[in-house]
Amino acid sequence: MTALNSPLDSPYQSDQALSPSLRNYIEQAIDQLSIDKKYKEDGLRQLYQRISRQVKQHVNPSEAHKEEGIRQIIYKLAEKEVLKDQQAALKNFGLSEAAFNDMLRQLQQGDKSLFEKIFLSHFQDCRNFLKYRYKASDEDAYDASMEAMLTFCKRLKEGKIAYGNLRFLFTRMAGQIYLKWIKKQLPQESIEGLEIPEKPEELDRESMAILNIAWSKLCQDCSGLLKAFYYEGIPLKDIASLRGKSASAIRKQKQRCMEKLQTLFAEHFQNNS
Amino acid sequence: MKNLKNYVNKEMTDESMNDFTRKLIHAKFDQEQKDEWAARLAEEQQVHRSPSTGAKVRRFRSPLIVAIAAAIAILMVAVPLFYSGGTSSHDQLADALLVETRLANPITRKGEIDESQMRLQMADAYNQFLYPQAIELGKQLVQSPTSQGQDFLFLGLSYLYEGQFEEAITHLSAVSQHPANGQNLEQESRWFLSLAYVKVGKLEEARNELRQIVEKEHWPSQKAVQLLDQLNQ
Repeated sequence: MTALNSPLDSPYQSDQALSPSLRNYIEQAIDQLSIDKKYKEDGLRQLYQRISRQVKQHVNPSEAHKEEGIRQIIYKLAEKEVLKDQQAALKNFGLSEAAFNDMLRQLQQGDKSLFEKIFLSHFQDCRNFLKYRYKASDEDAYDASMEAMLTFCKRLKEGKIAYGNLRFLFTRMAGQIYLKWIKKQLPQESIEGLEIPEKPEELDRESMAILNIAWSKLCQDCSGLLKAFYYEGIPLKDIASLRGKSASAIRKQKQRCMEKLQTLFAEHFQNNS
Repeated sequence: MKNLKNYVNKEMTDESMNDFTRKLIHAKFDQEQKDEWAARLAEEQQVHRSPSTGAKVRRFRSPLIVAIAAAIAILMVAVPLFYSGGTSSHDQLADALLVETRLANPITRKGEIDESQMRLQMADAYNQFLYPQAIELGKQLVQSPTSQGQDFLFLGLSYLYEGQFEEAITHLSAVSQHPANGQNLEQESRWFLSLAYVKVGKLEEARNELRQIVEKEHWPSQKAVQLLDQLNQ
């Protein structure tokens, strides 16, 4: 990126309240810090605006002729703003707030790829934290980290977790899950958005295999409907409108599908035993 | 799972049937999700649940074993943890100090130390926060017979800022063993080593490093006091 003189050429929506030379210094500072490599377009624009605000507060326009001094001050201000973002990113698995919001949008649209990329790459850190902090065994630390990842994913989708300190929330959630599992007393402090669910009831391996067989024998209409309602939490009226049916027709269909699953499960269960 | 028998025998009210179906479906898809992530962890990062068997451990241990283990833990290691006030404050303080005391790599293209192209590239990558690239270059540098203490330091720092704390500890610990190190490198590596120990929860090791910084009045002793206080609360 090169420093630009004309505000029309600037990718930052330059602040016209600043003189062209000050705007130029800001762009040069961004250039020198190679910030553009770390930011997406939105984030870069926001950063530019924050630096502009700082420049307005700290730089006296009447001294703009002291070119080198002003240039250095602006560089320092830019560096400080970048460090703030670095600090926030450190606490949030390297995500800026804009990237976090992108991840939420994607999750809500059913795309887990960004979430998985980030959380799977920090999985081992979380597991190590449980091992060192709570002396958890390798396997327990693995299971609790996995459960935390699943719970975190659901909470994010529900909009119950905000940008701030995701790393802390995630490891603390894994810690609380682990403590709950081993029936230790939970720490007294509670953290907003971090209510730990009861441990889900586990299905033994044989019953899970039977469930998978029964599920595979359901028609696609039924399996789709049951998954959408029970797992994805989509209300029946929304499923009805998506499928172009009335709510009462979908309710009856759901009842039939539920009974079909029960019958299939019971048949295979009895055959097995 | 409770009520499985009633479900199979169709002896459930509509409400219980609804609840049970919900639990079954959650169990199925949660397990599928976990299996998928486990496969990716194994394939992409060689992270496995258990190196030997893969069998699940028992969660509910005998109360006697739990009591004995707890007593030993309290005597040996856990007492300081109960008074530590949790990890939030010192972990967050360590995060903030990592940013506040971040070193710039002094090797520049215009500077006096123009050692090698790779060292320059690593410095560039590190200074631009491109830690994965810095790590790749640093790994090659520390393998070289002419490796220097600062190669270990900046590789350790790159791991640290990338969140790979165990690797950071390994390389930061190696700085002090390098014969060509000056006092500055040793001080800097000790400080960041203490932060890495905090990040993985090795609080006693962190305290040891911090105490040395404070006793010798090394850089940055005031921040070391601050962190030590937090760890001792």
